[in-house]
Amino acid sequence: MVMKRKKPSKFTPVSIPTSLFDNIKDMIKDTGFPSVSSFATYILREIVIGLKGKDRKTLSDEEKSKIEKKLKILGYLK
Amino acid sequence: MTRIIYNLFYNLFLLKFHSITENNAFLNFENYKIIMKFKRILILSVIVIILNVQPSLGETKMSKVLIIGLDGATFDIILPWVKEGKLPNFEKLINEGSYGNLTSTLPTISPVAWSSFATGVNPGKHGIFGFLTDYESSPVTRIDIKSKSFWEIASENGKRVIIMNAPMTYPPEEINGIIISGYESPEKEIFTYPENLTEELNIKDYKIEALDKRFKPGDEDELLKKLNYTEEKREEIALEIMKNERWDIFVIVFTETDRVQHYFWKYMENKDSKYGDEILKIYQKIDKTIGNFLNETDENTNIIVMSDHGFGPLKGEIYLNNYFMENEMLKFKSPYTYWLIKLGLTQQNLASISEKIQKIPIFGFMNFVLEKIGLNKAGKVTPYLTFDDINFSKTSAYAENFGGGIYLNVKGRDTFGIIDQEEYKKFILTVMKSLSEMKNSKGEKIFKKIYRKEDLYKGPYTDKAPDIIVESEDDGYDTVGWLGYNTLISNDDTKSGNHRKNGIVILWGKNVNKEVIKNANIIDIAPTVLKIVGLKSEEMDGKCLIK
Repeated sequence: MVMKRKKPSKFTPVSIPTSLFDNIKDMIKDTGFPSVSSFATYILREIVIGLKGKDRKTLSDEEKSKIEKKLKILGYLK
Repeated sequence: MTRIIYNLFYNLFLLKFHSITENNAFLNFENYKIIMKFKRILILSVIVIILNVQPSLGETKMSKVLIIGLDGATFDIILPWVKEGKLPNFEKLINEGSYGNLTSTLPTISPVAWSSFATGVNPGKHGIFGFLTDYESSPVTRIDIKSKSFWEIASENGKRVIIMNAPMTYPPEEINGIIISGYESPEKEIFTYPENLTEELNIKDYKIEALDKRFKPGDEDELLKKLNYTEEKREEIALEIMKNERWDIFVIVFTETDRVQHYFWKYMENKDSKYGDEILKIYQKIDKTIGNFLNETDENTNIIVMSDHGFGPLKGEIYLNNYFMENEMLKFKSPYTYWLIKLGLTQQNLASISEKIQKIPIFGFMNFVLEKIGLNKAGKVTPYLTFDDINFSKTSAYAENFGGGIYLNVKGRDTFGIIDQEEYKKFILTVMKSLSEMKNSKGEKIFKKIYRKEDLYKGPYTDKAPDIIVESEDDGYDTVGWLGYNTLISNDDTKSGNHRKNGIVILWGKNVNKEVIKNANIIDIAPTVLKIVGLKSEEMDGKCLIK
């Protein structure tokens, strides 16, 4: 007998308090997020990216000042 | 492709079959019938499997995309020149592919529009609303973008990407491929990933940006020379990378179109001018570059030519903070500032006086000394007004630096907020009504539309956006939040061209149908690119432009 191999799902449930779920549901009305899950995924991914921080460094003051100089040359800053 | 795989399997099977028949003496007529029956079933099965697999092999997995970004390119001038036979490669792509206007973001400025291009989401989700993170604070960079770019997604899914000169890519990120950051990259810093490419590009005299000093009337020839040189170098390096590197997605942005249109638009409108054809010449140069790219790419490469916004004549600059100052919504710390501005000690005059003084040798030396001891900074020795000069505890509304974004100073939200949350709804309507009635010296309305942030943006960063965003009539005005001007509108003596909301998009290649594209938006590029290379774009706001 050939066993059918089940395709691994790309999603998995996460438990959060019902009150938090309801709060998020209200909060995301008219924001473009189709569901609480999509909002939670979005926020968690942002946090994970931020924590990983592998290539997300902050700018030094010198870099900031050089970029401002460039924007002034282009006429976008006074 | 199907035929090649079919033949391969068929020949393999025949080989196997022959080896069975040659090595076995028991072959009789009955066995032969069974084997022949088995052979037919096997061949049919192989064909069915191949036919099912073939579309994803041929159309998705192997498809590549070359995105040629032309900052500020507009069909208003491209299509007439195509009709006149002046842009043969644009003509080829337009005739063989699909094309249409590409609506930009509001405000229609580079950091906002290119961030939406990269991420496929509206500014409420990527969080970029202007050139600065907040009024007079840090300039925005790639670090401030809150959503993933299509090249990050592609890279994570094993695609190799080359991103060259796309705005908002500094500091360059670690990626499966190459990043050469765009115009905002600071001088003498690492602007590439991998890092060692920076040195290589410096040796080859690659220029990130042609405009390396503030443009003044009289600088036309010098700027043209630099624009031409920068474009040629960019093409040269791009071709080298195209030839030597493996890639699935290649993005290259030319900013020379934007620069030449800003400073030479008025000449194009004057046929007798010495510089009348300079914009056309840059477009022809780009056209030639497109031709060279076409020669370098194979039949699996789809090409997207797009711009972040369009272009048209500049009517003038609107100094929104002059309006708020005159209507007592913006107050300075010093009571004298208002009167000094009224008496003519304006930003324009100060800039001109300061420039003249700086040319005197002794002042040049003093400037050098002040710089060395760290005093020559905005708000200290320089005479220009900055946001430090605003008395925020008495200011209810002000405009940000560039692009028509207006902030209301709200209690509980802003550090020195003075507008009550309950009062906010009424106050914002008053300000919007008042702005909608604003007229120029000819009595014409200045603003076509005035939006609240909720009208334009949706997403978790909408709160960070300016409370009001204005869109000028015909997009003809630059709306700025600079301080120290004693007029509402003035003419810019350097720029004569200005951004328009309609950019361009041309799609060409084997995944593209020949048709006119309608209702395309800059957020549609990212999902389109991902679809071509066989990836999904689940969290993007944009739609795919190919079927």
